[in-house]
Amino acid sequence: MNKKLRIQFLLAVFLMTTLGFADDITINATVNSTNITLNDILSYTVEIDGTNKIKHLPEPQGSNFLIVNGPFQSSNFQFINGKMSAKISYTWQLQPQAEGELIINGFSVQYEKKKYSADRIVVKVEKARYSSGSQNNSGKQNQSDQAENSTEGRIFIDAIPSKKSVYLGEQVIVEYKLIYNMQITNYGTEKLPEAKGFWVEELDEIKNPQSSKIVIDGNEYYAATIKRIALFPTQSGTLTLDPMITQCEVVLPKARRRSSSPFDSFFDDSFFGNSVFDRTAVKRVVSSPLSIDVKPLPAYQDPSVLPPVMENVQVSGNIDTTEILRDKALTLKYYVTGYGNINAVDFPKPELPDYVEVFPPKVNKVNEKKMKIKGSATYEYVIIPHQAGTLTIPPVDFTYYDPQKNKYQTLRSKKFDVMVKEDKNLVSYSTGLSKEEVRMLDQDIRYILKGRVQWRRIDTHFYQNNSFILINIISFLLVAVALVVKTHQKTIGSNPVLTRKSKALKKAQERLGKAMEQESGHSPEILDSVLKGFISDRLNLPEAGLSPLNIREVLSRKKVDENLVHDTFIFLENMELYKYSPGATGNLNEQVLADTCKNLLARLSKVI
Amino acid sequence: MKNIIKRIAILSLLITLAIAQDVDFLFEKANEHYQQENFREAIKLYEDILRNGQESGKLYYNLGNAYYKIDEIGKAVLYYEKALVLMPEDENLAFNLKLANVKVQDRIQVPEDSFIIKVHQKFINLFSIYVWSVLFSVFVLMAALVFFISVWLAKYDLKFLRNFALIAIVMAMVSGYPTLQKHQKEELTSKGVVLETVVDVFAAPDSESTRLFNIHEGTVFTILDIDGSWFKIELLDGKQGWVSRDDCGEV
Repeated sequence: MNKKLRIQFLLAVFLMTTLGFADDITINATVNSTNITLNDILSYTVEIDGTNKIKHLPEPQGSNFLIVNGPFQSSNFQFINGKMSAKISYTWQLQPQAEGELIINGFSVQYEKKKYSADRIVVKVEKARYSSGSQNNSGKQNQSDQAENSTEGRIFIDAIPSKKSVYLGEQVIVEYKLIYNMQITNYGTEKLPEAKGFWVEELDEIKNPQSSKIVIDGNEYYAATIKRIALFPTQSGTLTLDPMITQCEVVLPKARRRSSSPFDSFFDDSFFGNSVFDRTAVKRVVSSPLSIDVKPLPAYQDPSVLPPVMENVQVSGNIDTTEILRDKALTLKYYVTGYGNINAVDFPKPELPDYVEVFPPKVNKVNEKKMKIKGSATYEYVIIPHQAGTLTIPPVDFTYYDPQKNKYQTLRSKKFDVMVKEDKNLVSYSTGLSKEEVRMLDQDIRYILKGRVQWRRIDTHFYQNNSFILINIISFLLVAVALVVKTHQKTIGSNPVLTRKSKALKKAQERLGKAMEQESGHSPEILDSVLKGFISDRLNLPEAGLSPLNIREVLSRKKVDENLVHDTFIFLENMELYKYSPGATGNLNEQVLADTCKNLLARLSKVI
Repeated sequence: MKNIIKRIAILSLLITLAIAQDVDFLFEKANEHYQQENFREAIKLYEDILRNGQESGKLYYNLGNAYYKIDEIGKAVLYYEKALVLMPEDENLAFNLKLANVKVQDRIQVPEDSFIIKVHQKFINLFSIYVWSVLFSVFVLMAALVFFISVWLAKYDLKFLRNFALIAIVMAMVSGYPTLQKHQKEELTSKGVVLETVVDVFAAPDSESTRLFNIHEGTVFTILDIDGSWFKIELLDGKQGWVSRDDCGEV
């Protein structure tokens, strides 16, 4: 119980202290514009922050104005996070009385024994833009409108350019103000102004035009901005903007109603201001044409570049990462914003080293169309560094013409440093050089080779080489010949008839040679058997029982030359004779016999 | 008829002689340009010789040098590799190739060869395939000659001839082995060299496929397969992938 009380007490103290702090107040006096015309009605507002307890303020004092309305009071009180805030404001509407300066004196208020004061305000008053006599800005109003002038109802459009003299490409805002002192139930733009030499961009549509009071020659009018357009001059010189035509549905003034109905005054209530009983008419309202001076831009140092005309330009850039693996993509973005036509902006490309692959940028340009055209452009580059190390993206300079400062301005984006690292997952062969290789680095290659060159045909295999082919052919032939010889020898060896035949001459010569070495007396016998043996070997005949007659017969059958056959026959006959009568050998020269036998062998070996 | 054949033979001989002279002349001219450090001119002339269909180890070596001098390391390595086929034993070439490889970014780690493999390599690279093949055929010729002689003198029992034939056959085998090895390595499989600064290696012969890794100018690889404008390659460490044919040169 005790505890609870204590908490409540503390809470109360806390609340009181916080409220106490809120008692410090500020007083602020403002006007809605410091530059008005005689037509305008000025709003003067005194705002007291910190309390809403001041219930009375002195009426504004000063010169050159009349209070037409006020004070309107509005107060505000709220707790935010346990803190109290209170606000109260008083608004007066003042009408200027003459051209020149309108002065609202400062004043002071006493609050809780403290004095608070507000400053003096000076407002410049220019001559009236509109007068009831001649409409200086909308002189070309049509006849019906002029007719309405005589009565109370009057309506016209004023076209107000933000500037009358601009640079080529600079943005001009033209505001169309509908000024009227009759009730308008509806309006619509019939035709946008023709604008030769301009690029026209309609700003966002004004859905609920706010009307404000103005005064023309003592009469109250309303002014409402119904349309805004942005113009970008595309050529220099004096350009003309054609009038805008609007159709307005207006309620005809009551004075024109010829009615004596007693309900008139009743229906003339503001509640029924737009009632079905009102007569309405459609009026065509035409604004006056505008002329605008367009100055060419001063020459830029680089005539090939045409910097855009912009105001309040901001340039920024960013990268999505400052550390990246080699061969991976990185996004580099540049932003440009500013008042002006963003489509004329061409943001320069960053200068990157050769090993960086740069894809064409994705460009996004947006023109925001609120009170003024504000453009923003985004340049999105995707770049891929193909080398490890620190990649420096140098700053990019963006140049534009600032019509406020009347000179070319250059803004510079930030410089970026990106650490490009090797990807450990990818094969990395660049592991640096060994000591030996480092030593080799500063050496030069050996000189070219000169002298005799052995030329070869390109794209031939080793087996198409001439010498290789030649040598192998020789080897092949050698082996082939040798093989043929060998097989020949083999066949001879395996056939006794052939062997006998091929060895016949050799055998005979050998026997003859031996016989010559032996002592004499046996030679006719030996010579006989040598010759007979040779013939039988060659002709494959049994040696035994061969008579000279038989031999002659066989040789004749073989068509051997008759002389040879005869010589052989005679020789063999003689040998037979000597064999059986050895006494006859006495006068025989054995050497001559042997030679004759040799001769016969030679002659016979050629034919059989 | 005989006359015409004779004439044609003489004419063709003259033409080949003329071509050889022409090639020698071009080669000398190119060497002169190299000497005067007009490397690009020299390259043009050396390549003219290649366009003539003639090659030689010296030509490839000099061409590699010229490309090295103008800092085209990929081409330099390519021609040194070509020269290596024709003159594997040349010490200057070995030095220059090593120097060029220092400038190649990719350092492929290959396990050190064992002593036996080193000796084997050294032996095989004693001569080019052409020298080895001619050596082989000379030894075969000797064996054939011995065989031939032995057949003629079969009657005499010549034992030393048999030993001689045996030696010739062994020598033929010794020189035939490197010939076949080199034929397998140099003539049936081809090598390639990267000529662009960086080349992507893909998982398939399609530039939309996964990128496996990068190789750099001057890196040598074995070509396993060819598919249209794509090489299937294998690096020294066994990594495989596909590269675009335009970025590479074939040894």
